[in-house]
Amino acid sequence: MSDSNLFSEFPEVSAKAWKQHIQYNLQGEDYNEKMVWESPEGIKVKPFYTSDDLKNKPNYQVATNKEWAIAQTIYAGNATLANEKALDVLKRGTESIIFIVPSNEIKIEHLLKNIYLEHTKIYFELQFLSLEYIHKILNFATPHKNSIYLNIDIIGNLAKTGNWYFNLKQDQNTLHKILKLHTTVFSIDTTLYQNAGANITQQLAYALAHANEYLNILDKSEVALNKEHCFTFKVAIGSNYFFEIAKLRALRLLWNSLASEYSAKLTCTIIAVPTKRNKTLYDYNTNMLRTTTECMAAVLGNADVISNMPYDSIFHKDNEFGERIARNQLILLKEEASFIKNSNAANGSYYITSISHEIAEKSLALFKSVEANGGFLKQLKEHSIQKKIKESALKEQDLFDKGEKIVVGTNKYINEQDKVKNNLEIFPFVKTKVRKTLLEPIIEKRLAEVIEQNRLEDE
Amino acid sequence: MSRKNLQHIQLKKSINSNVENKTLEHVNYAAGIPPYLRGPYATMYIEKPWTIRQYSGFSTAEESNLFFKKNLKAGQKGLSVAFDLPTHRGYDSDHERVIGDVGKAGVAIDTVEDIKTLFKDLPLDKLSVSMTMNGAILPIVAFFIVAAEEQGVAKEKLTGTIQNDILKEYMVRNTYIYPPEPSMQIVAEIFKYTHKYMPKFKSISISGYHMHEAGATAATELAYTLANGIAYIKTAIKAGLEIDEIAPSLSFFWAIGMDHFSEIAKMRAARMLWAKLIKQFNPKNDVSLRLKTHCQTSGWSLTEQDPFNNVARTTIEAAAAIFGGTQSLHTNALDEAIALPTDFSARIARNTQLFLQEETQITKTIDPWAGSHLVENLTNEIANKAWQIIKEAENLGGMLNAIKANIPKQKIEAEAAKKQARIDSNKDTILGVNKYQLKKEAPLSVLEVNNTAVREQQIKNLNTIKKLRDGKAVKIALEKITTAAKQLEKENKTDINLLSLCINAAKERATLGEISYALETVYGRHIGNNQLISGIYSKEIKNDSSFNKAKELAAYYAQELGKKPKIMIAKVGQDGHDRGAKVVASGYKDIGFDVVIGSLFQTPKEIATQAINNNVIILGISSLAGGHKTLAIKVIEELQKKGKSNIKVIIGGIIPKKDHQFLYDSGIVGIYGPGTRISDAAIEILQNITD
Repeated sequence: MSDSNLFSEFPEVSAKAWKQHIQYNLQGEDYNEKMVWESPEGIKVKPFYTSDDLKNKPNYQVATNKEWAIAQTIYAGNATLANEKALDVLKRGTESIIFIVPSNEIKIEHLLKNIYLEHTKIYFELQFLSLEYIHKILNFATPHKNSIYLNIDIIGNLAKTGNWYFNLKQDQNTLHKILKLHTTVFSIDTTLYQNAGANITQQLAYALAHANEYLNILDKSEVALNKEHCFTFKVAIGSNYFFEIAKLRALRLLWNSLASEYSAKLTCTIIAVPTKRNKTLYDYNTNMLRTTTECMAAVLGNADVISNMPYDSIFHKDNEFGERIARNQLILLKEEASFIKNSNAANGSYYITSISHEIAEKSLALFKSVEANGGFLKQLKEHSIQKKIKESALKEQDLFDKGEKIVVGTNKYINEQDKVKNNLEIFPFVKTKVRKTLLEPIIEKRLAEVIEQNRLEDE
Repeated sequence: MSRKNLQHIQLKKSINSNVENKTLEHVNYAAGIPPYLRGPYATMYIEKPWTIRQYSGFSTAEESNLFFKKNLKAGQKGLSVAFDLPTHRGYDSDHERVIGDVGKAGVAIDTVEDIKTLFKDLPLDKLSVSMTMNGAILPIVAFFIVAAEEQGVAKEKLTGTIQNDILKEYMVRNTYIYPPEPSMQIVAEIFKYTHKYMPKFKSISISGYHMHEAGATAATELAYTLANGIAYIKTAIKAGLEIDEIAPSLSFFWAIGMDHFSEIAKMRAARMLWAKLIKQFNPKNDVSLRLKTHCQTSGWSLTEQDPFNNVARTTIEAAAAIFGGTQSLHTNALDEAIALPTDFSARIARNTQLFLQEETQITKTIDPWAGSHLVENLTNEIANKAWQIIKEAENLGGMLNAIKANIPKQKIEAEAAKKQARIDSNKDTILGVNKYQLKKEAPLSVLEVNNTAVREQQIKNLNTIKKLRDGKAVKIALEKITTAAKQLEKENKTDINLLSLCINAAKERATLGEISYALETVYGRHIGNNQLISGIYSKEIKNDSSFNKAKELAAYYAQELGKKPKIMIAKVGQDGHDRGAKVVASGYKDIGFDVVIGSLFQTPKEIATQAINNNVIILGISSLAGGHKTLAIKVIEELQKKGKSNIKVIIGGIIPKKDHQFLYDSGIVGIYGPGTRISDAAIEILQNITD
C-alpha cells in the first residue's frame, strides 16, 4: 500500500455530478430555493463549495507565524484596583490588557505599576482626548513604549456620542500632535456598527471609510510617517460563524488594498470582541455558548488580540467568576483545542475563501459609494450612515420578532421558570434619555431588549 | 478638502501566498456519493440537521421516564438510555455481587416491567430510542420488544439503535458477560432476528467512543472501530445475511475531543475508509458503503475543577462533530464528569446543540472545512495511519484474534499512559488541573443517587413479580434458552433464535439475571486479561523533577528493605472503565513499585483477600461510578476482620470533596482525585509508609 492510491477504486466526483445528484434527490423541487441560503448581506451560500470555486479568486493567505493574544478588558475607574486586577489576570493566562480609562484623573503611574511592559501589550481606550495624558503614558512607558497602543478614535467618538471631544478642529489638531509622538495611535472601532445592527458588508465598508478619513489626515500632513503608523481595528464578532471568520479575512484583504493607495502600512492589528447584539438576560448561560463560537471565529479569522466578554456583562457588574470563565474560554482554545497551532486552518477552505472574497467585493463597492458621496464623515453628518445601519437593524429585528432569526432561550426554547429580575446589577437596556448632540449618535441595541422588558414586567 | 479618488481600487490578487498547496488524492470526493468524504448524504444539514440525542439514565425507570418527557418537550428529538452496571453485567438488583452498583450511572432494569415504566406514555412507534447495551443485549432487546407489544406497538414499527458492540468491551470498557466467541454468536442472533422482524431498527452501533475515552489516538480509535465493524459484517454474512442487507443497518459512534481539527478530519477519513473496506464485499447498493455516525463530546476532557470551563469544552467539541458531519449528537453536561446531569446542567448541554443549530448558520453548507490545507492534510494523515493499523489487525486474522492476543487493549493503554505522562509533566495543558488552578473551588450542587434506596425498591419489585408470575412457565422458558445455546454452539441452526426465546421468557416475566444466567451455564463468564504495560510513562515524562524524586524515594525504600514497595491497584464493583486504574498502575510500576493489578468486578471481600495474599503494603482503590462510600469502606472492614489493618488503603477516582472527611474518618489514608500527578501521589504514599 502506498499513500497515493488508498482510494483509487473510487472515481473523483465533479461539482456538476454532485449537483445533479442533489437535483435528482430533490425530485423536481427548485434547487436554488431549497439549497441556497441568502445571508443578511445578500450573499448566496451554495450547498457546497469545491476547488472550482477558488479558480480566479485571490489566493489569499494570512500571515502564518503570528500568535494571537488573550486580552482582558479592564475598566480603570480606580487606578490602583485596575492595576491589581491587571497584575492578577496576567498571572492567570491573560497576555495583554485593554484599559478603559474614563478620565484624566486616573494616574498612569498607578495604573501601569509593576506591569512588565517589555512583554505585555497595553491597549488604551481613553474616554477623553488629552495630549498631556498621552505624554504621561508615553513617558511612563519608555523604553517600552512600543507595547503601548493608544487607540485614539476621534471619529469613532463622534459616531458613538454625537459630539467631538472638543470640536472638529481641536480634535484633529490634537490627533496631529499625538501622531508625532507615537506610531500605534489610530484605532477604528467598528464594534459600534455591529452592536447597532449593521450587517457585515456595512461593518467592513464603514470600517474602511472610517479609516480612510484618518488616511486622508495622514496623507495631508505627515506623509513621511505614513509607513510607520499602524492601524488598529476593533471588531465585534457575531454568531454567523463562517461569515465572521470571512469578515476578518476580508478586512485584511480590504485594508491591504486601501493602505497601498496611500503607501501606508499594509498590515493592521485586529482586536476582536464578541458582539453584544445577540446576548440575553434570560437563559444567560447561553451567552457562554455564544462567546465560545465567537472567540473561535475570531481566532480562525486571525484576529491579533481577542478580549472575551463575560456571559453576564450586560446585567452584572464586573465579577471574578464571569471574567474568569470568559478568559478561560480563550485559554482552552489556545492550549487544549490546539487553536494556537491551527489558527491558519481557514487557508485553502473553499467555502471561507469564496465568501471572504464575496464579502470583500461587496464591502468594497459600498465603500466606494460612501466615498463617491463625500466620505464617511460627511455621510455621518448627513445621518445617512445612521439611517443605513438602522435599516439593517430593523430588518434583523423584524426577523427576530417573527421568529425567523432565533435566539435560543429568548424567542425559542424558552425556560418559563427562568427569573432574572432580582439578579440585575446594572441597567441592561438602551438608555432613553435624550441629550442635545451635534449629530445623531449611532445607538447600540440588543435584539432581545423588548422581549426582555416585557418578561421582566411579568415576573 | 480634496480627497483622493479611490473608485479604481481592486482587491489584490495575491498577498502572502507563500503556503504550499499540494494536491491530495482524496480531495475531489463529494457527499452522498462513495466514498462519502464530505458526508453520508448529498444535502446533509441543509435539508435536515443532525438529531439532538441526549444520553440519559437516572437510577430508576420512573425518574428516567419523567426526564425523557421533560426533554422531549424542550426540543429533544430522540431518546437515549443508559443502564446501570448490574444490568450491563447481567445481574438482577438483588444479586450479592452488585450491592454498591445498583442505580449507578444509569437505570436499573430487572424485568420487562421496568422497561414498561421507562417508556410509559411515550409512543414507541414514533420515537427513536437508542440503548447503550452490549453484554446483556438479549434480555434488554427482548424486554423492549415485549414492552412495546404490551403498549400496542408491533416490533416492526420500532425505530432506534442498540449498541450491541461487544468487541470493544474486551478492548476498553469491560462490560462483557461471556467470552468473545459466544458473544459474537449472540450478535449474530440479534442480526438475524432484527433483520427479519425489525426493519427500521438499527441492530448495532459500532463504537470508537470508549476507545477514545480510554486514551486511544484518533487513528487508533478509527482503525479498531472500523476493523470491529468488519468483524460484525463477517459475522452477519456467516449468519446468512447479504452484504446489502447488513451494511446499511450499521451505524458508528465517535467520541469528539478537544483536538478540534483532528476530530473533523477523523470523521471524514472514517467515511472513506469504511467505503473502501465494504467495497471488498462487492455490495450492489452504494448505500452499503455509507458510514453513518452518532457522536458524543468527550467525557474524559471534562474536569471536576472549575466545572464551568466544561461549557466551552463541550461547545468546541460539539462544533467539531457537526463540521465532521455527524447524524446525531450528545453534548455532555458540565457536571457529567462527576455526576448525572441536573436539570440545570442538562439544559445548558441541550442548548449547546440548539444554539449551534439555530444561531450559527453552520448548517447552510456541506462540509464547510473542505479544502482547508490543514483539514485535508489531517484527513489524509489519519486515513493512512488508520489503514496501517487495520492491516496489522487483518494480518493477525481479524479483530477477534487481535483481541484474544490482547493487542488493541495494550496499544490503547500505552497511548493513555503517554498522554498521562504529557499531562503530568505539563507538556499538555488541562486548564484548572495542571495550569491556572483555583485556590478554592466553589461547590457545585450535583445529583446524588441513593443507591441503597434504589436497590431496595428494585428488590421489592422483583419479589412482587416473582410471586405473581407462573414459576413453572418461567423455568421452561429459561431451559429452552439454555438448550438452544448448547445447540448453537455445535451448529449453525436457522430454525431457532436466541432472541425469540428470550422474548418468550420476558413475556413470562423472567428476570434479566435469570435470562443471563441461562446462557452463562453454557458460555461461562469471561475473565479479562490484566497485563500491565511498562516503560511508556517513564519514556514520555523523562526528566520531570517530581517523577525523579518519586523514583529516588522508591529506590531508597527498596534498598532499605530489600524489596520494592508493593502496591495493589484495584477497581471494586461492576464498573469496567479501567483507564485510570491502568494508567496509575503503569505509572507506579515505572516509578519503581511492585504493582499488582486487581481483577475486575471483585467484591470488597475478594479484593481484601487478593491484597492479603499478595502481601501488599498499600491497597489503592479506584472508584469511578460513585461506589466509594459503600464499597471502599467495606474493603477496610474486610481487612480489619482478617487482622490486616496494617495494609494502608488509598482511594483514587471521582470523589466529591464533601465525602473526603468521611473517608479519612473511616481509615482511608490518601485520596487522589482526577488531576493528581502520579508522581506526587507516589511521593506522598512512600513518605506515608516510611514514617
